[in-house]
Amino acid sequence: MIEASPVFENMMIIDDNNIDLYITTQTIKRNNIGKTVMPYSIAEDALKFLQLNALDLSALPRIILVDIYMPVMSGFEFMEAYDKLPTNLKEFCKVFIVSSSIDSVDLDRANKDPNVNAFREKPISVEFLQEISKLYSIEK
Amino acid sequence: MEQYTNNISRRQIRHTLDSLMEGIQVIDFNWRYLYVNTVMAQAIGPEDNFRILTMMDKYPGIENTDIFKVLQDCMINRTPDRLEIEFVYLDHSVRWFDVSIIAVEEGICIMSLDITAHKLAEEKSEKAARLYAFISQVNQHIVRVKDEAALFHNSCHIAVEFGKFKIAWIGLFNHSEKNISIVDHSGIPDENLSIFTNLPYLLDDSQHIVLRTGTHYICNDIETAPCLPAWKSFAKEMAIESYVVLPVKKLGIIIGTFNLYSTIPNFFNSDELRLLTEMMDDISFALDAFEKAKRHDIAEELIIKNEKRFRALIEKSTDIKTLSTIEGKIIYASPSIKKILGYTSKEFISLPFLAIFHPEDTKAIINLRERLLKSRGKSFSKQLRLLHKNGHWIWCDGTITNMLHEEGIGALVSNFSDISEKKSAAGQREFDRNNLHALINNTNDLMWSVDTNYNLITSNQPFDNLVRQASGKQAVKETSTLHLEGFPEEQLRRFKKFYDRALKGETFTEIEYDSSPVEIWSEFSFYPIRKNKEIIGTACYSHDITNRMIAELKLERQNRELTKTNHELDRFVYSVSHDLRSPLTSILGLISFIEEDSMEKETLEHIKLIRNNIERLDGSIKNILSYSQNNRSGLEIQRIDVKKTIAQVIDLLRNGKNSRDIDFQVEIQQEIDFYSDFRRFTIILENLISNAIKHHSDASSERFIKVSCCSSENTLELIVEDNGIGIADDNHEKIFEMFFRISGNTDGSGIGLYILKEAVEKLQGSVKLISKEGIGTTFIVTLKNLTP
Repeated sequence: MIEASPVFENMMIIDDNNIDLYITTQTIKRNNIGKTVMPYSIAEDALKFLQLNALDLSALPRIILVDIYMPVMSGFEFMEAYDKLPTNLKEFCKVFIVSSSIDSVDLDRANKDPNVNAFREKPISVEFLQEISKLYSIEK
Repeated sequence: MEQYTNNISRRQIRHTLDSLMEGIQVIDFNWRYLYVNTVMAQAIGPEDNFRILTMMDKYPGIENTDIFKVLQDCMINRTPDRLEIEFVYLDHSVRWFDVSIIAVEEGICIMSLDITAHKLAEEKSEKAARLYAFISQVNQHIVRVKDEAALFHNSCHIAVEFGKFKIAWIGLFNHSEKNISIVDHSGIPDENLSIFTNLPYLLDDSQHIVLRTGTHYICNDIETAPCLPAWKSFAKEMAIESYVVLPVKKLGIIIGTFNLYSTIPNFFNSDELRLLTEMMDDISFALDAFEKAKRHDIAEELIIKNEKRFRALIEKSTDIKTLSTIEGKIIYASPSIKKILGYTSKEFISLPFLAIFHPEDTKAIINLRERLLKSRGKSFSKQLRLLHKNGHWIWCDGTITNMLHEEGIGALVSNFSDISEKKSAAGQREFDRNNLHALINNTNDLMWSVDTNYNLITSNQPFDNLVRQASGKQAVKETSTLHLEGFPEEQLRRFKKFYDRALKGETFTEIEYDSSPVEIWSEFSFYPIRKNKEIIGTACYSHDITNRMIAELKLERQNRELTKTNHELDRFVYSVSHDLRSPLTSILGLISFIEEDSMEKETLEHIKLIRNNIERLDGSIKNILSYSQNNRSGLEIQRIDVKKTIAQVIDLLRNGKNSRDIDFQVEIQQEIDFYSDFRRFTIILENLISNAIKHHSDASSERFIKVSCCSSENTLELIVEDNGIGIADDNHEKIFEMFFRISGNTDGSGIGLYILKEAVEKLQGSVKLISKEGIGTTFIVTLKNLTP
């Protein structure tokens, strides 16, 4: 059985809930979606990483999955800071809000943010991951 | 004449002829005198003198006279004739002749008998007859006619008709306007009447002479008459020869003239004048009689009129007037008694003394009468009650006057006027006053009014109490309300401002807080008092609203707290839903790993049951959140991109496990911008689509959910169609009930469609359902386009 190479080189997950981090990571791995998963339970750390590697596209994650409800820095606060990152980074990274919130206010807010590609309810489904794989894979 | 010459000798004949009283003349064909007898010779001169003369020589101008025509006719046609002629001599003397003309051999023979004396006598007697007829007619009329105008009229006409005067007129002196106005006339042609009407008042005319001299005036020569030239030419035209102006006297004073005009020269001789003067005396007598009668009539009329007037005053008066004797017997009662007391005058008169008076008044009336009887001419007044025929009492103002000693009255004169209305009006006023008093005092609110000088006009009990409480003194009317003791200066100053506003015409209400003397919230109302259009003061009203204000403040605080609580609850539900859902989603994630990893059949069975329960719990949490949001939040209208929103909702739901293999079809026709509440619109969409997903049978292949939408100016129609399990007809109503679930279906809380319906109603829309069990379901939601 030949293992096909993963769709994405780097994927970033920001979620304060470690179980969810684990589940999402597992799902990605199991479905061969991403080669490297960068799990962050603190949004600020993730932001720092992005700021540091803003110019190095190979180090940046193609896909970023962000939870909304997190202590210290929420998903939306992260998005505000994200907006200030360089344009090339924002063009390269595709951000998805993934939340257990079903509040339409959150949905609306996510949809209004041009940097957010989509809003998804938890748990992350395989179908969703396959869909973004099709849409955002970088052809080798 | 032939016969004369044949039968009798010429001499004889001549002698006979000469001795005749008749004048005879024979004229030849050349109008020469052949023969004249003695009588004629005396008249026209000796025969020898006129033998050579023609008639025309003797009487120049005779050929133009009527007699000559007759003579000529006989001369030519030989026809005899006889006539009476009036012959005017060259000296203007006039004689009358009876003339016979016969044709003779030599020419014509004229026999003339002087009948002048006879004629004059005849004329005189005729004239006398006329005058007598005139005077007698006048006298007859004097007896018959009743007034001046008729007498004058008749007199003028009789003068012309019987007296054979050419013109007769009567004119009266009008001293104030200085003219003579013609009151009647006869014989004056209409076109000439203007000469007589309104004759100017000339000092020396015939009429004025009469007025001055007091006696008649005769004129026998129109040429020299003291008259206007216009009148003179008229007189000539009318052939008037003489006239007389007779004074018309009334009560010995000349009031005008009777003017008689005759065509006969020198008509008025002493005899005629005597008769006419007599007639004028008769006329004057008649005029005096008329005048006396008239004066009598006027006096009588005046008396009648006065009596009528007084009678009317008494009888038409709404007051009762009575006359009573010294004993109290009523001898007269005016008809108004019927109107006021119901009795006829007759009935009233027959009532016993005192019967009509109220027992309570009787004593006073007797006293009054006694006093009255002692004082002649005096009046007494009293308000008393009179008995109506129907038995009730009428309040009257009574005035009784003692006129027992007054000649022609000899009674007590009473006047009663009905004052029951006045009484009841006074009663009404008193009632109004008491009513108002009761109204303004039956409250704890303060009511008072001030005039334009801020002085107190009136106040109610609570106001007085407050003033007494504050100052220890009574509130005094007509004293300034700006210096009430015990009230803070600042408060009184504030009130002055209020008064000023009201006195300028403003009606207003103000809420004021005062901490002294006690903590009080008051509502003050001011209403200007107007008299006609002028503002004369203001009504003031104060209502203690402390309790209300405390309640309002409390309510406000509670409201604030409630809003806060609501917000907190919102946050709570929000975080709870997140906090509850978060672990559930984690569990669901882990379950999918087990499903993938495990080969154990039983484990897979169990894990499936766990998944179902988790999903149901998740659904419930989601619905509770939607429900609380829908109920508590207000509408936030915004433009909705329907296409994008549908896509997002489908996107969110299509990745669920149950929606695998479902063909989502979207058909949107939106041309007009749609406005609504985004959150609820999304809830509706989510519920419709998730419901369709949930109720798809797993077995069915070619599963689809079709979302179509079309918008119009006013509405947006949203149709969600599926080919799922469908809903039995019985349940079409029930599915919108809270916690209703189709039996056998374990998935769902039974609140989804309830929330959908609530949300649809909030958006002023409606939801319709078409469904057949086993075939599919179509929901049609119509939402109002809430265009701002």
